[in-house]
Amino acid sequence: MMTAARLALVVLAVALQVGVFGYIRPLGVMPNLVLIVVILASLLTTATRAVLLAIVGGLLLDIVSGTDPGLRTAFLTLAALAAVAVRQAGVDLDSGSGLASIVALATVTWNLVLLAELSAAGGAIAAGPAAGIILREVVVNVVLAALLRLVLLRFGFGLPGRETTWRRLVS
Amino acid sequence: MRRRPRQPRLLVMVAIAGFIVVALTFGWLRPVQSVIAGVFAPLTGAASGAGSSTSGLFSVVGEIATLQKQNQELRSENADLRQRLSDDAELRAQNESLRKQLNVAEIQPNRLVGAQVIGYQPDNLRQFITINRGSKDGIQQGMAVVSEGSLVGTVSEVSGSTSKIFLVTDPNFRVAAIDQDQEARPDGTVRGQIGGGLIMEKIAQNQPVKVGDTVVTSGLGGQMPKGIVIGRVAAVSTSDNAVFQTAQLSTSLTFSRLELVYVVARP
Repeated sequence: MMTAARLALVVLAVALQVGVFGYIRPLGVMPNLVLIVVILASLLTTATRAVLLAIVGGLLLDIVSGTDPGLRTAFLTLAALAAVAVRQAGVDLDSGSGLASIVALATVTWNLVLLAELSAAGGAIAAGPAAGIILREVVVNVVLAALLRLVLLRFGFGLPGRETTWRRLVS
Repeated sequence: MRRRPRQPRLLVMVAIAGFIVVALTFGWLRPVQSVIAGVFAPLTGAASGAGSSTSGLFSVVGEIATLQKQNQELRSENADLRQRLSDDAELRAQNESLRKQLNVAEIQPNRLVGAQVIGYQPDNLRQFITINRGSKDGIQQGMAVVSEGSLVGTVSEVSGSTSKIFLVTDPNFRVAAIDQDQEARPDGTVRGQIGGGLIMEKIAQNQPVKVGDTVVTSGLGGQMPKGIVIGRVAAVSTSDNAVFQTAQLSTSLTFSRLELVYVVARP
C-alpha cells in the first residue's frame, strides 16, 4: 500500500485518539491507537516505513497534546525500532500472542514513563488507581490491536507474502 | 530473501526527528505548532463531535431511571435558586444604594468566553483538553475555565485559535481553596489525583471541615478569581499525629464528557 495511505492512517489514528476516544472510553480508559498502529506497522511493513510512521505519529501527538515535547516521538520511535529488531531477530510475531505481548509491554512501559515524569514533577500518584488504569488500558489496547490487525491484513496493508495470513485465518 | 534495512535512511529520519523535537522544546517552532493546531482543530473537532454524540446515545438508554430522579432534584433546586435570585436582587439594590452613599467604585464582573472542547490529552494519566478559542478571542495563559458552575481548570497554553486547558483532575494541578460553609473558612490546597479524584490538603487540624461542605477558590495569587466552586467535601481524613488534615472532594462534572466550557476572561 502507498506510503501516503499509511501516513493518512496515522493522521486518522491521532484524530480519533484525541477526538472520538476522548469521549468513548472502553472500560473507562482511552486506547492508545497511535501506539497500536505503529506496532502493527513494525510487524507488517518494512523498518523504514515503521519508523517514519512512528515519527510522524509521535510528532503529531506531541503537537496536539502540547505537553512534554518529544516524549511521544521518542517513545514511539523506540517502540517501532524495538518491534522491528525483535522481528528481525527471528522471533515469530505474526501470531496473536506475539502481538498481544508486544502491545501489552509497550503500553505498560509508556505508562511507567508517564508516571516517572509525573513523579519527578511532584504530581500526586496513588498506586492503586494508577495500576487499575494501566491494567485496563492494556486489555483495551490488546483487543483493539487484534481487531485492527485483522482489518489491516484484509485490506492488504501487510508485506508481500503476509497477505496469506488473512487467507489462513479465514480458510 | 529479506531486504536489509536501509540504515542510513533510518539514521537521517531519526536525526531530523531529533532536531524537530529539540526545536519544539525550545519553542522555535511555535508558529508552525500554531498552524498545525489550527489545521488539526476542525478534524479533532469533528471527531470529538462524533464521539460525544455516539457516547451520549449509548449512555442515555442506560440512564433513564437516573435521569428521572435527577430531573426531580433539579426542579426542586431550581425553585430554591429562583428564591435566592429574588433575594439577591434585593441585596444588589441595597449594595448599589450604599455604594452611592459611600462613593465606592463598582467591581467589574468577569467576562465569560464560551468554547467547545475539540480534543483530549492522548494519555490516561495526564488531564488536558483543547478548546476552539485562542489569543484572537482574548484568551490568556492562567485564566480560569468553568463549566456548569464548577471549576474545570486553567488555560495552560494559547495559540491563535485554540487553547490547552490544564484540568483540575491532573495530578500536577494545584489551586488555593477555602471551605466556604464553615465559619472559620478553613483554607488549603486542592490538587488532582490519578483516576480523576480531587483532594484538599494542608488544612489546619484546628479548623474543622465537614462532609457536604462546598469548597471554592480562595483567589490567593491573583490569577484565579475568588469564589469559583471546585467541589464538595466527600470524606475527611484526620490524624492526631499529623499537622494537617485532608479532605476528599467530589465534583458534579464528568470530565470525560465535557463539550462546552467557559473561560473567565478579564473585563
